[in-house]
Amino acid sequence: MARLGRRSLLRTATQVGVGVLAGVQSLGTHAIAQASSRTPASSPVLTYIYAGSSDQKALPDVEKALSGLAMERISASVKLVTFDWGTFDQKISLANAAGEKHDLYYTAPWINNYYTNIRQEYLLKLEKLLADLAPILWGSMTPDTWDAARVGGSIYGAINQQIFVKPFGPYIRADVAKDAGVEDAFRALTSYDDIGPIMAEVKKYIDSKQGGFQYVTVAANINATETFGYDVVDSGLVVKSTDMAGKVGLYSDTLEYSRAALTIRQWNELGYTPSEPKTSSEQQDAWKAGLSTMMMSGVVKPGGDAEIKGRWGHEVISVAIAEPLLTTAGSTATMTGVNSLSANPEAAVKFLELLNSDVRFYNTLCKGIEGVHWEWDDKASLLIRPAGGKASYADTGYNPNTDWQFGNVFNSYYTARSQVGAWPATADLNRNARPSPLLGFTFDGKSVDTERAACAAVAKEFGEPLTFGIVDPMTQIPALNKALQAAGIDRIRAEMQKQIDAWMAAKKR
Amino acid sequence: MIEAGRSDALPGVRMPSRRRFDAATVVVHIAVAGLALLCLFPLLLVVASSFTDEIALARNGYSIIPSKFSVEAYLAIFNKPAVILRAYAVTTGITFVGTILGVSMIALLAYPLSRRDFILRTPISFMVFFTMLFNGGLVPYYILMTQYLNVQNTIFALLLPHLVGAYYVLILRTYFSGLPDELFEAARVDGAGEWTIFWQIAVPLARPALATIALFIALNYWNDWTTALYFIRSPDLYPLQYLLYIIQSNAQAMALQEQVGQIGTQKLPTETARMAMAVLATGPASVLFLFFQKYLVRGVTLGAFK
Amino acid sequence: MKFHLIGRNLVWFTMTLPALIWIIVFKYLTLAGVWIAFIDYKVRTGLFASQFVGLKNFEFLFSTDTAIRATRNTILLNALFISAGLVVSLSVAWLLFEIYASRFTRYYQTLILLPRFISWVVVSYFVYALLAADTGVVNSVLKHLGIAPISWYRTTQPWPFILLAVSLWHGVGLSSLIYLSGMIAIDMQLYEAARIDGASRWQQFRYITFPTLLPLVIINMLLALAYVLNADFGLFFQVTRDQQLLYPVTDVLDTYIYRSLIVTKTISMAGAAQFYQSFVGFILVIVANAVVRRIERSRNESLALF
Repeated sequence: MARLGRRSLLRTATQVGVGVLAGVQSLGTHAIAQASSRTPASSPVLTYIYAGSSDQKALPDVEKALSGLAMERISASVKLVTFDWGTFDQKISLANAAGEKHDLYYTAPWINNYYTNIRQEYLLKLEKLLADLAPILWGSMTPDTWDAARVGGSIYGAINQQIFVKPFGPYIRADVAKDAGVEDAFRALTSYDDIGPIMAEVKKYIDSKQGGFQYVTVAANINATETFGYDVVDSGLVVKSTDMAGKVGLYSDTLEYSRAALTIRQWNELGYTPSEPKTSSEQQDAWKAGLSTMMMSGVVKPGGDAEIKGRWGHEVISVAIAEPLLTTAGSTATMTGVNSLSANPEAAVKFLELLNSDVRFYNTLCKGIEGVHWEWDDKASLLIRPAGGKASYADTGYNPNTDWQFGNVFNSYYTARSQVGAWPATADLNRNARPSPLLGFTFDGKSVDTERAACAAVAKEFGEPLTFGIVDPMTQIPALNKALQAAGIDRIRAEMQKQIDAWMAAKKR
Repeated sequence: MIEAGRSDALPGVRMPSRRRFDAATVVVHIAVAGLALLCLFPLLLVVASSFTDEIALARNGYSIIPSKFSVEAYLAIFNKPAVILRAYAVTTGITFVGTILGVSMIALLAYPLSRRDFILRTPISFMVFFTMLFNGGLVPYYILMTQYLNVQNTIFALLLPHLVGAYYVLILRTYFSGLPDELFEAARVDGAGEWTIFWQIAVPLARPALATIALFIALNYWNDWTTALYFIRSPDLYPLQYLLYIIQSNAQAMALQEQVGQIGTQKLPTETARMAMAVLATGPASVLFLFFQKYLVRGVTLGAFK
Repeated sequence: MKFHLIGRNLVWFTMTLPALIWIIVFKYLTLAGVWIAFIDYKVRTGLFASQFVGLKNFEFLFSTDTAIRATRNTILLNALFISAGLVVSLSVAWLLFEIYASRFTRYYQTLILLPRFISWVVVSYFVYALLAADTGVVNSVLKHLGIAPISWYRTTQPWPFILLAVSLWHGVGLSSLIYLSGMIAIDMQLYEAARIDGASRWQQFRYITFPTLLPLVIINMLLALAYVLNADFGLFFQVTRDQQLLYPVTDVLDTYIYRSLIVTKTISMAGAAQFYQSFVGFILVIVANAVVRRIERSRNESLALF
């Protein structure tokens, strides 16, 4: 019985296997068949998926208003689909993988990964469509900027204009700066070299105020690549922004990295930072609860101090230290892509044009309907306030609060007095930033995926403790670099250098 | 021998001799009570933190007595009571229906697999076991659910995927195999059919095991948030744990946004709110368990007679 | 085969159908997705048109010392967890059984089960509350006792045991239930007879309880073996707070895979990782099952999985 059972089992397994292969093959072809049988409808409904908070009660009203506007202008209506922030990545990648036919969706290098989407052929090539059907959007950015979105010669996403550069710098609570008498010194900072004495003063101040603040800073992450003028391509491999030849180096092998790590370590030993690393949400809680006085590395941008105050309720002073550097990653930080299976790609691109050129349309998506969700506070300076005397936008039933996800933020209305004027200033910042020699280059890491995976594991293990200053850099940086080498960092570097050289040669021609 | 299926007519028959109050029993009580307290303590910590002022919590850390009492977290959650009440309804509904359906299907499969005369016993057991280890991965599963079964964004998407757990089938099979064969033979001699034997002998005798399996399945449904993550888009169908997951994962996504220079002014859920959600998700579930416990105890009275 | 056996088999087969159909639809229809591990999978190209790459997707699982360490940690920790888990859940089940008639028992049981409802994120909060270097409860106790505080999240040695404790605390309520339900089914007359013969409680356990539970124990061990290369991601990622300094003892395959693939995000490499974990478990179970079959032959009992 047992023997017979096993033999028949084998047979069953084989039969089941064959049946299943056939079954799943049809799953695959099904999706493709669906894709090829698309027919443009006379008045298409464009499905637009983005990340947000799913409890926007007034979303149907806004959808209706937008559809009305869109019907007038591009003879299409809109279906808005919100995935919660924390679920967006997984939900959208499943929808894409299954060949669902939504039309537009948010994509970026840091969430719903742009490059993965391209590699999996989820995104439509847009350069021609944009030039033909979205002239205003196409003309609103320089060819250099558009090049940042290029992969293998094609553009797969419409870049949302916003802050492209990341001028990192420290923040300090205004009240602490004043009481500890370091305000002038802080404002005069030009590099992290001079911040030590300020921190020492703040530490003294904290110690004198028993039971108030707990840390000078809750995380001393001053080793961001941009801070030292490096453009990071992938796997911790960087190119110096002044190096027009584009020589690839390992960031953890640079002098700047070592110096930053030593400084962080010193701060940890002096008790400026927590003795144990805090998670990102604990860092936020600490800042909110007023346990921490300084933030060592935040993006210092026009209107940024006001955003921080809105978020945590503390008045802050910030100083930009890093030179603004225009990189591929920064320029493509927020994009809208068109699904490669969209039944209405032309209408989708027209929608992008509308969203990025029509201020009323864009603000309806960002802020809701005038008179219902918001009203003018000061029309001359484009300042709005919650409608009907509501205390906050959240009370109006519509408050996605992610203008930068939808389109050109320079078209968005200001929601706070202190914000007024931030957009032209940001545009200036972008315009005057130094372009990285690699602006427009994207690395195709497919052939070295094994090494990239192995290096990612190693980099995290050794890198994070260095960033928190809880290990000795003198031994751990060499250990990190040795482990990276064992994981095959040199093969990634060689591949990257090859691609950069080819890209530069092609660019010269 | 007493016919098992009728023994609800025999209340209170159970191990009278085990009620002896000797020193050993006291020791056992102390040990188990200690264990229970060990399990309770961290939970008290969660409850206490949920009633702590958020700033006080970040400042002083966790403690068993709130350093500064506050119901702010609960007020924030019940600010929109409809959301959480609906989530309760969804979770309770799928847990209830899913458990009943699941236990029935599992019992119906496990029982034949426990019969040595069943010719398909080995191949089907292997088939069941095989699914514990190998599966086609998320993408084919997603395509199956959304394009073939078409259940996305319906309650069925939450209900269907967890009905038959291979592990429970195999455990229950083992349990059924342990039942004495003579009982079944005797019933057959009396002319009972296989269905009658299943319902009137196997199932009543296996009540403790069935209740245990039911509890496992109920916990699966109660704690499941991934299914909602994959298949549910409408907030009306969010289960409780998924709500909790969204709160937690949104906070992480906000931290990511900051790395690209976008400081949202969205109100972040505080740690106290997360704790309050955990309390709300756990509290009713433990009541549910006490309810289950009744069946476990009843199962005991039945198991005594064979 | 005898006629009555055919009839019986037909009824049995009918009983299996609901669950069997479910298993075929949900588990076997999509099974071809396993092939993803061996190709450079592009969803829109389809499973069979994508390029075959052999074992390339598996390389990152073996290419570095870190990867090997993850496999080693997974196996060693699982060995620890499985063996300790067996002993503890059997003991807890036995303790509960000894006092099963008491009215307190249902409350004990509810309390022991409660931790199961708490998500790992929340568990990580209060583990941190206990072990934090500056504010942790354990260190303040140590300080009171005049012992130098320990920087727990930087000290590797205690972590296998900390994780074991947390994992037991979280899971033992449920796993002991399986054994408890087995004990409840044991004929009480056996115990009576043993007591009359003057058997101690331990002897009763050794000669009555344990032999009866042996099939359940074996099935549980076999099934645990199937998951020997899998680790509970939440436990190892959240409860350790993903502290890199602890990786030498806490980095398991699931956390390693997560960390590696968060950068490359290839479906195929994730598929390969899953296949590797399943395949090793599968081979182990097949071998162990064959061994159990040999033992089975010497006893008149069915113990094997299939």
